[in-house]
Amino acid sequence: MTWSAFLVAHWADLWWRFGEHVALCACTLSAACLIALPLGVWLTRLPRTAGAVLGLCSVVQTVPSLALLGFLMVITGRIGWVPSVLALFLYALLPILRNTIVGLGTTPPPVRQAATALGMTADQVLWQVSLPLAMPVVFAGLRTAAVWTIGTATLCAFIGAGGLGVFINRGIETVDARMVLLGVVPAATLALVVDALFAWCGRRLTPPGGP
Amino acid sequence: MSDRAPEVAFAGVSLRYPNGVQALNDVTFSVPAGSICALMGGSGSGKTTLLKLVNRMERTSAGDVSLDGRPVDSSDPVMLRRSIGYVIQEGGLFPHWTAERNVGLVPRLLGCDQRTSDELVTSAMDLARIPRAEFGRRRPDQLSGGQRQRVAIARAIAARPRLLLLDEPFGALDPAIRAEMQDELRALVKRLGCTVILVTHDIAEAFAVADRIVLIDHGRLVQIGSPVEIALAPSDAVAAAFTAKQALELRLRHLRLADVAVNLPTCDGTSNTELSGERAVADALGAIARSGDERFTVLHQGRRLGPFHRRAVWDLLQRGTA
Ligand SMILES: Nc1ncnc2c1ncn2[C@@H]1O[C@H](COP(=O)(O)OP(=O)(O)OP(=O)(O)O)[C@@H](O)[C@H]1O
Ligand SMILES: [Mg+2]
Repeated sequence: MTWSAFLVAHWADLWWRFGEHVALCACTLSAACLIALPLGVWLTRLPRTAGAVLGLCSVVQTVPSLALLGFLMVITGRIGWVPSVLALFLYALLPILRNTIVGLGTTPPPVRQAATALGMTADQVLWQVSLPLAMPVVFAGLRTAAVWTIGTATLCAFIGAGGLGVFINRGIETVDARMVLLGVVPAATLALVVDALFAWCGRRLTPPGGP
Repeated sequence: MSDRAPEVAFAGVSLRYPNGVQALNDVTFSVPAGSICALMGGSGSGKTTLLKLVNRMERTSAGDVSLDGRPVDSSDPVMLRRSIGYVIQEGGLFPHWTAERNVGLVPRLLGCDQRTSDELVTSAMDLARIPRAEFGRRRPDQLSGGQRQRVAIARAIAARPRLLLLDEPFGALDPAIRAEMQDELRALVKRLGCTVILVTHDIAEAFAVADRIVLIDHGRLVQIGSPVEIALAPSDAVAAAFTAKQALELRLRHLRLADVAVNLPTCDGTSNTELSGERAVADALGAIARSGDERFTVLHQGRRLGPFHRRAVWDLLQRGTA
């Protein structure tokens, strides 16, 4: 079978799996952002707790992805989306959370002091000064999380969550490199596109001048 | 804040930082309403800490800071800070805001409408000699160090505070601009009617700008007095050391003949050389030398003082400067 014939044969299936993949990653990433961004902002007021939470996230990060997927499959008693989203979510938390906390901490002390000295409240300092200045670092975290989630989501096919990983598994079983590439190439492209998209958003949201 | 410049009083103020550093130790003095007070002292002597007590960035461990007799601790810190102009030591402009947005900060915080705050920004930038038309839309990284300091000053005066705390506001300026800014600052605050506490390491700056100079050393008050008193009558060795290096030059430049004459012993003989007490000492000494006369008299407030001997002036000026 030629490449083009191969593609045509799997065209519908490819889009279906691609859609599953995007949906899986979108769910995970939005959940991670919704939790990690506010949590990171809130934790900057509790430096000790912040340390503990970051430590916990790092521990999760050290667990191999397959092991985590398997583990979550066992404790949730399900296969498919539930353990997959949960595992990817746990992985995506750390970079977003850490970069939010680190980014908010990089406000130059004189700037923070001037803000307070001129009568800004703590909330005003956070929203008008620290957060805008932290944008590049926060977005770096989002990009790491996004690229990582899109790549790792291919593993979720092992526990029946679908996505582009399905082609990879099938390719491995049938020793078909083309089938593997059918999963890998769209996943890698998606990761690059999303990364570029976040980078662009980050630049748009980052105030000029920098910290 | 009230529409009057406040008197600032420190009464037995001590501050010990949580890490055990005793930054201030029983400091008592006051800054009269509408006057400019220069705060001087070595690095780490507690100058910045003293300023921070005024707007409640720090709190005293003992003693009270009050504005017009009202302890600052009884005011809401945020409202208090909005009513006080502050230039922090490092400038502290917001790097992500344009100059005009930086300057408009306090008017916005105070809830001024767009038009009022716009007017305040324009006039503050004019007063600080950093015209809005040219510099307003630039961000701090597009300004020179001196221009940034002007923006910081404009930001501090934008909401027309009646109290200004300036922590080495001219630190980054070259001597020529510095001297110009000192004159401008003095003219500016006298025009606005502000009480000012200015931290400086530069004794010449203190002489040029201040009505009174406060010397502190290791958190203790060493001496408080007018520039003339500090120059001519240092209270002790520590105070003398402050002015020692430039003492002679300062005295020559900043003292008037009358300031010196009241402390001079008269001499025998007569003199035809009569000088106005308003003349600067350096200038008067030149005139005496040119007259060829060793003796001179001083005309001060309608009275004639003297005669004095030329050498007595030098003796007095050099006392304590060796
Ligand atoms: N937040 C702080 N915590 C602990 N110690 C501090 C703090 N801020 C200042 N200090 C200490 O208090 C003392 C006085 O500091 P301060 O900043 O008031 O000095 P300064 O007179 O302004 O010095 P400089 O001329 O160098 O600016 C110093 O010994 C300093 O190390
Ligand atoms: Mg200081």
